[in-house]
Amino acid sequence: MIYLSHIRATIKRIGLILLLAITPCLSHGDEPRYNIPPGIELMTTTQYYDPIEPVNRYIYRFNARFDRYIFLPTVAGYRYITPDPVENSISNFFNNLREIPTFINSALQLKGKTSLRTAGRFIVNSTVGIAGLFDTASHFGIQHYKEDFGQTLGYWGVPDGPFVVLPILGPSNLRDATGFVTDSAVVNNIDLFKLDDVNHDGERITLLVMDGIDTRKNTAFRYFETGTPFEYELIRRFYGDYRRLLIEK
Amino acid sequence: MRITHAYSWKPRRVNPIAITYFAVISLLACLIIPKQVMADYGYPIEQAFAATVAGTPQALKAPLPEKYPATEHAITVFEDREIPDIFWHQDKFHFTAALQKNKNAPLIFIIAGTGASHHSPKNTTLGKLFYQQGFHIIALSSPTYLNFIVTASESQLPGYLPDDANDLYRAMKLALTELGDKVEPSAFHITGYSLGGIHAAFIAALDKKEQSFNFKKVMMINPPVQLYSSVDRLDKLVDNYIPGGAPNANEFLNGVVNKLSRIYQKTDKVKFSPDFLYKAYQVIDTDKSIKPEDKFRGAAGLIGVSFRISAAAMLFASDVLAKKGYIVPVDQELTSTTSLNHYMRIAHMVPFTRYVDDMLIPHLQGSNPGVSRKTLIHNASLNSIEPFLKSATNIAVVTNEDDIILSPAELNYMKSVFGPRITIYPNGGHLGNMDYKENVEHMLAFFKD
Repeated sequence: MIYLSHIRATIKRIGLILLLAITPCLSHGDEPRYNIPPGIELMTTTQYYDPIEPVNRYIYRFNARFDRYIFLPTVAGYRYITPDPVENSISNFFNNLREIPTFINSALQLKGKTSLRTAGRFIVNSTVGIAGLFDTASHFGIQHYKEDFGQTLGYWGVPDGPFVVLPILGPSNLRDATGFVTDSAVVNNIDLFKLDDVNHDGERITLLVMDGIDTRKNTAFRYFETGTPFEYELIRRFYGDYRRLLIEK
Repeated sequence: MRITHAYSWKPRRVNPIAITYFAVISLLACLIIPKQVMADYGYPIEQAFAATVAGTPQALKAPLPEKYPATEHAITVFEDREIPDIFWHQDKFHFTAALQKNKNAPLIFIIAGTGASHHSPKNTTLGKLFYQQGFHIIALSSPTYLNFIVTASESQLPGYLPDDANDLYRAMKLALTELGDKVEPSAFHITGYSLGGIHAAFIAALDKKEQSFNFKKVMMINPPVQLYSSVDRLDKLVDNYIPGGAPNANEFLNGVVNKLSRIYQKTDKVKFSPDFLYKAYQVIDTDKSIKPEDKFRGAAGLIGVSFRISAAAMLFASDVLAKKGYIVPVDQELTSTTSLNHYMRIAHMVPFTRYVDDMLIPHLQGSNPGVSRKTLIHNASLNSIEPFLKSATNIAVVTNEDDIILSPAELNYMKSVFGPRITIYPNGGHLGNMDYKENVEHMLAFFKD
């Protein structure tokens, strides 16, 4: 658990400095003409702890710009030059790699059926599906699952921790961010493609970038298309609710 | 066939004289009031709130084309407009276009409903349906949608229909210019749903004077008659159907979601399907343990809350942009890192009618001194363009007997204004039956030459 304590300490330090710096900006100036007593609200969005909100908002904005000027144009270019069947195969390839953390985490949550099916999927797709390029397992009717280390931690009672917006990756919380780092570290350590033997940094980066492009391609979310100026608040709530549902499942 | 009552019908003996009498009466009725009484209308959801939420079951929907080459365009409407940092992401006006290969194909403008974008699900459905029939499509956001308020609304205070129509008209002309020589339509048409429906009528009235498009056909889909009274009805859903009103909405919504998930676990072992809400309706409708008056509280509350959420977005944006100091103090500078929790909480508690009374009307009276509140509210209703609507035989209306945004008096008013040009379905709530097969056939037939 090096990551957890390390990240928590760093965020605490950054958060404290920033909180001290921004406190004077938080007062609300002149009284507005329409006001309602505190505590009354139509829809709560403050139930998830968000101590570094200004930093999160700053990163949220950075992510939206990154998305608009770099990420989405890259995805559009990728889709333009790559024939659809190739795109699908690339998605299948990465989905197959993602079975590894799902297998480990469903085992850690004592979900026998899920881990068996996931192992089955990985074996079928890695062999008959030619290194994961084809999703043969789905043709055989083996269901796809997704479990990550954040869910495992949640399953064993680790609370959400503060809400954080991760650069490029988007909304998360301390528990799930830790989970993400752990899952990535595990996949790297397994070193399926033997990239550790010699210097294969180029391949490693290509794999990482392609993984990112593929994930973005398959994510429908577009920044500021919700039509509400309160998108950050709503995302904070829905992220928390969604993760809770996944953990309870 | 009404699916919900399929098993409750029992044959019984009927007096033959009564049958003859009934036949003569209905024949006469068909001659006198064409299209207004519909026997055998098959849209299955009889409760208005449930219909509004659940829409049309998949199997009864009109088929949509797989290919819909819609592209999003971004243009600048006001060259010298400065956009505050908090809305940095809304720097251009966005619209959707889908063009036919034949550039002389007729073009149809589609206007979205309250708080909805140019690519809202309903705009997209309409776009696909008309594209399939050979129309060029230009779909626009509602003037009440955030992107429109920031980039294309002159006053940045939407809801006053004559001003909204001017804003939309300007945007429509610019959108057409943006598409350049790819379109040279043989004719222009316009349609819109809900608030977009009444916008379409106001735009048609404006075009009668300006003559930029000379619309061939205009169709209003489930429009309000008077903006103020319809938003008042929607505002009150939260107070009338959620026990304890708006402050209890949170708890109430959790209850609705829990109930739906229990139904989900019981009825649907497979995946979450688009028909799930329809199935939930059937379960609730036939559940004898729920009191009839409590059955569709959940649906009514959901509509009320989602209306408040759209209204809150509009209210906050207008308040900040027009510097009204209504919920955000005028001297409060908002940036993209300012916490909005406080303002969001307040914005969601303000009814739409309070926005009209406290922000919109004072603003309009500021620029038109001496004009009464009554006149302004009248100007934002069909009454104000009644002579035009009566004479314009190319305008048609479709709505429902049980549309939740209309009072019986308003429905009668539309009957008297539009006569044979209004089609009223017996059920469907607010837009619940918009993509039902029979409705779509009627709509497409209207736009066919």
